[in-house]
Amino acid sequence: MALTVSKFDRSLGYIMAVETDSTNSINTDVFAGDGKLYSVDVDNTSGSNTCYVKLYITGYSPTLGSSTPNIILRCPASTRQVWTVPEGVDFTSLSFASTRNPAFSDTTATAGTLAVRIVASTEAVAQKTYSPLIALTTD
Amino acid sequence: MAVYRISNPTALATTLVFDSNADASNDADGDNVTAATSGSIYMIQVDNRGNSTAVYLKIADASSATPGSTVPDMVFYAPASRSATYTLPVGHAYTAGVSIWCTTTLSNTSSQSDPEAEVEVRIMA
Repeated sequence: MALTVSKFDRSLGYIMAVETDSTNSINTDVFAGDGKLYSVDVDNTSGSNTCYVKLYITGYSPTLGSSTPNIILRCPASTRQVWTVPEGVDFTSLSFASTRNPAFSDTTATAGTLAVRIVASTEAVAQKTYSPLIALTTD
Repeated sequence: MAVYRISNPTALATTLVFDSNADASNDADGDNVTAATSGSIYMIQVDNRGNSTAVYLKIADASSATPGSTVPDMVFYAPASRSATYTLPVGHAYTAGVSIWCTTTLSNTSSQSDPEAEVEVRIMA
């Protein structure tokens, strides 16, 4: 598994996380704080089994198998599904993992490579890192 | 100038399911809500604007479900005082039926509490 998190542009609040192979090892607090979830792209085209992507959006350090996910998305074998949330869903912290079965307690690894791409906005974070483009001074 | 005439495409979804008071205790009305054993889900809307507590719409690909014991195949979250809409243009196929319940309880293995006020659920399939 390899997770990459990148902002589209510093002036925009949008941010994207790409996990090239989501497994039963949880990616914790991928956006380093709160924000709004807009889409989850689950690519199971190389998978031979149905998989379940579990998203934890209200806790900072969830544990797969014991913590309860807030959102579960099913993706059948050999398919790619992109769920979008036009108005977004607020999260305090976003973590995710993927398993073979839907039960919260399941920790069975998925079969094949499962890519997960998540788009979110973190306006609050962006505002904190802004630098003024023009500084007004008085002589 | 060029004139194009295009026939209306076939409707994407053929069924709109509307539950004006989605809950968990009256689970029978959430069984097989599309009245079909197979099809695709294109949109799910959980309108939780009337509640100060988050709710979860749980969906089982089954002809019936028992809240508290049936393991849902999908779970959709709606924050407190918000409406959340989840869309999937390509559709998510189901093979046994769509059975739903709405609860404030996150766990699947304990008693499923009803939302305090009405939660409206719309599903396009």
